[in-house]
Amino acid sequence: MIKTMSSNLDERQEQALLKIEHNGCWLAFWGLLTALFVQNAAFNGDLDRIIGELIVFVVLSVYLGASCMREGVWDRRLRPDAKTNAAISCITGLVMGVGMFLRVHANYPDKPIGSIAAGVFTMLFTGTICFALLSISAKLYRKRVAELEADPGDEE
Amino acid sequence: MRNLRMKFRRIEVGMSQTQLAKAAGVTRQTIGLIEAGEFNPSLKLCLAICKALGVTLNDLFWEEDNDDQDHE
Repeated sequence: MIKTMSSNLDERQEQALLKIEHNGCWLAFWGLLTALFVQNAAFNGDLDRIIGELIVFVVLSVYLGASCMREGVWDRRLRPDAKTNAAISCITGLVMGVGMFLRVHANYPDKPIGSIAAGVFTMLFTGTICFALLSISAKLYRKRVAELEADPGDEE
Repeated sequence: MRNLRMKFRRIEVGMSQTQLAKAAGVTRQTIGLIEAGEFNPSLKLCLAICKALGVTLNDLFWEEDNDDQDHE
């Protein structure tokens, strides 16, 4: 017979542990993302060599996103509006574009135009995809919030 | 804000923080932090503390608007 284990922690310790786990989660998230960028650059874009980290990162991201969506939570500070989504997409596109430019430029230093073109294309492509995903997520979020906030009496 | 009423009541009934902590089912540090106003307990823990000290929630946790002025 399986004996259910009760918690050894009181509520303050539980909150302290949640805070520690929260910090650990974001440390793992950003650390993994940084490691992916560094490894991608070091291994010259060889996906086979970073597939493990990539899978963990994607699973973590999907879990965080899906859990937040289910609970009707977006972000502490950012709002799910087009302006904010556009700003985030621009920053993401810019980072990815600069990263791609540097990588291509390192491999083909004699082709600066090609490096710039690769950077610009990556920036536009990533920015557009990011904006589309954020817009879809924001729409789903608003729909979920409407469901959660609906007065149960309205359904009768 | 420090919860002096809880501290005074605990001293009044002759309990140490450790004894109160044991009665309420938490750690001594948690009781210390509640008295110091650095941790907001849940309603469940407030009730456990009140029962252990033999008082009501109002006696320990109700804040009147003019409480601050009274302390000053």
